[in-house]
Amino acid sequence: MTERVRLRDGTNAVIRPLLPTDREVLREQYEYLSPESRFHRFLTGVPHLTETMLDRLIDDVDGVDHVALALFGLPEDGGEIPAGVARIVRYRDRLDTADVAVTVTDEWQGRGVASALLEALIRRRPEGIRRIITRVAADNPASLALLRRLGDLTVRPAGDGCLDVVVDLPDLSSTAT
Amino acid sequence: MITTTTGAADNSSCPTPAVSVARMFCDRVAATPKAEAFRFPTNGGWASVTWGQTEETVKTTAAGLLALGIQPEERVGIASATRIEWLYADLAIMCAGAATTAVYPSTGGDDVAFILSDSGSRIVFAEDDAQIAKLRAQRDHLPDLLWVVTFDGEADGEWVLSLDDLLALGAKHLVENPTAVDEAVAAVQPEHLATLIYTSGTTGRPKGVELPQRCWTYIGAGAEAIDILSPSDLQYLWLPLSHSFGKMLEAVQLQIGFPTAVDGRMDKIVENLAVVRPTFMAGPPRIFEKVHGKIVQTVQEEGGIRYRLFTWAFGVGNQVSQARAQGRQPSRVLQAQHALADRLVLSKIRAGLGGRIRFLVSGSAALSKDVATWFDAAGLLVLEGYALTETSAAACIVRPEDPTFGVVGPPLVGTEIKIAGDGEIFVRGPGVMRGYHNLPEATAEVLGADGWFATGDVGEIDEAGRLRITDRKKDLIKTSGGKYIAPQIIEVMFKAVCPLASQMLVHADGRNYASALITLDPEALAQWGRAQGLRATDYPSLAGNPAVHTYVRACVEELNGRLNRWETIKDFRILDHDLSVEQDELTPSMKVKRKVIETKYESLLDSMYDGQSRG
Repeated sequence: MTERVRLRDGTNAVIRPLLPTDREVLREQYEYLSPESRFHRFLTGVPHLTETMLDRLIDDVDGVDHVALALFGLPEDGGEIPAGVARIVRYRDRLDTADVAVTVTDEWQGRGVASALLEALIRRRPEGIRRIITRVAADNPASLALLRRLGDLTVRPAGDGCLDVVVDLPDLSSTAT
Repeated sequence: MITTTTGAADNSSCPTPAVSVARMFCDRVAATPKAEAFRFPTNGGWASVTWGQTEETVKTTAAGLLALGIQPEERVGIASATRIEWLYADLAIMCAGAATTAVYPSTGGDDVAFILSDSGSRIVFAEDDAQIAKLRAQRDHLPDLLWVVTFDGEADGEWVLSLDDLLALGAKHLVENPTAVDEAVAAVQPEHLATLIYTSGTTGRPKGVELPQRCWTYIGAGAEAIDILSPSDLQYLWLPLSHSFGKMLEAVQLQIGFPTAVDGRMDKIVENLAVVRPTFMAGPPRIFEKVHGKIVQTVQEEGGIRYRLFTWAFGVGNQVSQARAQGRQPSRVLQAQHALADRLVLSKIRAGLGGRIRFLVSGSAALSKDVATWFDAAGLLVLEGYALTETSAAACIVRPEDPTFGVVGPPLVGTEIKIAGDGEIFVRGPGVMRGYHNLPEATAEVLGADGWFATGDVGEIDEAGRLRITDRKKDLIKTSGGKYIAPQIIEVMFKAVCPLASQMLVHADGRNYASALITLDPEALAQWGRAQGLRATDYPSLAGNPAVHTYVRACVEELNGRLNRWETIKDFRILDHDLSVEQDELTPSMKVKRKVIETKYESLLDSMYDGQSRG
């Protein structure tokens, strides 16, 4: 389940499923995010991840309806640096539709972490998911551009500083690499 | 048919704008030196000055600034409420070839220090001792600030000068260098910086909007082109001049030459209108809501026959204004009824505003269509305009010959509007800023090399080329008073002061103050309940517990202590459950669906506004 990838800037990295043992890593990484990155993740101000939130973000990951992946950078001098997390979660009332969320640590932004994570996430998406419905902050064109690469994209202002985004995914066979 | 562009770059039907604001002022003085320029309150009455008298004060003040060493385009701050001295100071800064940094008198000390140091202000006009105290407290952070000039405060001769000290310096400078100010005026070019106005962002510090001279001179020329004002008009000005809306009115006055009665005290408006009897007045929607609310409430409380008469008269007024809007002549019967309704009720409403108002201008936030219609029924036309500080506060305005409510009109001559694929409104024209001060990246995000400015608002253009604002794209909410609130900053602060908090949703869009919906973290709440010895352990009972309310209220009060006055949370409600994916309040990945929540809890939100309508 662990795959090695090379980021756009040449850095080596690994992508693997987010594990229950990653709870503290997730909590700590969130603390280092800029206010803007935090806002883009939850579309509201969340200064810290609470236990209740971590239950959802870690314990609810089941690999069936909720897939979460983490990317760790592998710098040349050794070690693993957590750089980003992406998740895809099926809607309870729309079994072919899922929501996605990607967060990349500020210093790793602009290096292709999000696109590597999203590409892997779509490949490993829960069975039967054909469509993404999600929300993106209106001042986050980078996320919109990433989503646009996944398939046919429709955007509509939600009226609260966010955009409602729908992506119709092409058949899994054509995106598989 | 819906189009996606309106307006044209061609401004040949517009008078040629002056080279600079200083030039506009000098041209105005030369054209009508004996005409009245300003009226302002003095001990119990009103004083009046001509353009010629204004020139003397302004040029001497400008010479004082030059004597203190001010250089072209260097910044001079003004931290004051709206009053005649604000205008003298601003015009003097223009005539000295310098640029004005506008500071709201209500801005907190930290932000004042940031604005003055970010702008590199060398001199500040400070209204009174309260403003001076803020500057003194921050003096260590203001190494570039050489002098403070106070209107009413105590001078110390060392750092703080009085206005009289500055005038004396100026008079002396003019004796030694009689042409100093004229030379400074002649040197100002259209692209030179005229004004820096700071606007709050969603995250981080406020951004300084750089408006060069051409922005204001264009607005002046554009206002003359639409030909709705003349030198025989009389303006009543109370808007904050630190706001671009107020500043814009100053430019329009210089171009057209009507006199302006100036008094920034909001509590004096009603009293002053009866005395001044202006022919037009501009304001944010809040002022129109206030007038409407107050009159309706008074009549409702009186009840009885007066209330029935009032309701009938407004019904008749409404029918007449609808007929007019549709280009129909009201029927004879309706005309007769209207004459009576007008005599008994409607004319008295107009008399309350002095009785001579030709029209009112609403801007800086969306005006409720109901309120605009109510005023129209009373025979008071409210023209709505649209712009941002970044477009010098004037881009579009409804024209009196085509009065429509719920739209913000076509653009000024020479300004273009386009709607992008996602609905965002773009503006291009001479009124657009040159950029954010020292922030090339933030500038590039909103201002393209082709001159199109991305407003962050969403709208559409109708078949008559009128713009309608339908939504807002950026994560700022705007109160009906025209003040921006960045909800997520407040929400983060609240979660930091309140250990029980799970979510706070700040609500203020189109309202006259901010309120919040609050949810609590179930685990933290249960733990707190146990520690307090509360019997209940489930969320709904705890969330409804008065002890929990008292605790959360204390947290909100602590939060309010850290906020600017207009951002404070005046009321809140605790929901009976935490926001959840199951209730469709969060997306499955836990992103908040703000609009869904606001719609779902609309009546709960309304209950915090006591039946006041949304703007």
